Amino acid sequence: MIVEYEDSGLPTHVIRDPVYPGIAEAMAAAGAQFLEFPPVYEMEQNEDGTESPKSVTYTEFDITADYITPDKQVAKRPRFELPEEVNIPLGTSQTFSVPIGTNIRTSEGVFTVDDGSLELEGDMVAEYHLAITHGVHVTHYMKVSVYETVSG
Amino acid sequence: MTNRVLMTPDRLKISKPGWDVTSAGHNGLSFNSDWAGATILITGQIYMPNNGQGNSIWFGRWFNTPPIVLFLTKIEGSSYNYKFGYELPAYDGQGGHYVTNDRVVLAGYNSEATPNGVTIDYLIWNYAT
Repeated sequence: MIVEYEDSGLPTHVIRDPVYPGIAEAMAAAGAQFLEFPPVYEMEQNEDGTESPKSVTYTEFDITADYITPDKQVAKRPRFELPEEVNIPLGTSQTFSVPIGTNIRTSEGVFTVDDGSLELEGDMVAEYHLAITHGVHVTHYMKVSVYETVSG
Repeated sequence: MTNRVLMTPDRLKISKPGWDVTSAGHNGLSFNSDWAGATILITGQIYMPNNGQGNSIWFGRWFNTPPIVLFLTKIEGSSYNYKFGYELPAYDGQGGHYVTNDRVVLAGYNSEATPNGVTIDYLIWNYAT
């Protein structure tokens, strides 16, 4: 397997095993930043003293959930501990803790949380879709519904 | 005993019973890697962020004719399923997406339709020439 990645460790390209000879050389010549994780073979002894592969283990990698650590290992990306859906009564708000510097992408633009507190204010009845990102965290998608309460 | 199997670095032949593999013609062979058809060269996955940055898939070999490439694309953060092909809008000014004799060139995305980027599963066929 080959993993091409950004300086942050986020992967941009995964080539699954078996990797055809020459691909890594072509990528290196093109200046790509990547790591190779070759298959690991367990060998067994033949009667004539030679060895043959008994089994092979491939490194697993999920481009949407894994990343490359600074010491060049495969690791799971951290996840936000946030709900996928939030329902907010009109005129109220809900607050969630997120890392400082978390970006919130909405249809209106990208906003950065600079105090570690994501406050969702229900000031208009509508449905919103947020994409929440921070560093190598798995992108979290949240649907926010602001609804009007019936009084009376 | 008749030679039945011929294995060289670039070829594998197996002859039918009674045929010498070193001299048998097509009708005397039960397998000939020269005519084994297309095999899979590369499978992989690419994530294209929505920043206009492109990427390339290198074949590691030269094809006289560009190979067949299959794509499935998924818009991240959308409820749409994977779509056949690489039909989403490319970032203008990068020449679009194309296949050459030694690589696939993917133009980057920078579109309101793909704010969270695109994940692409691909498969590239291998053949002899």
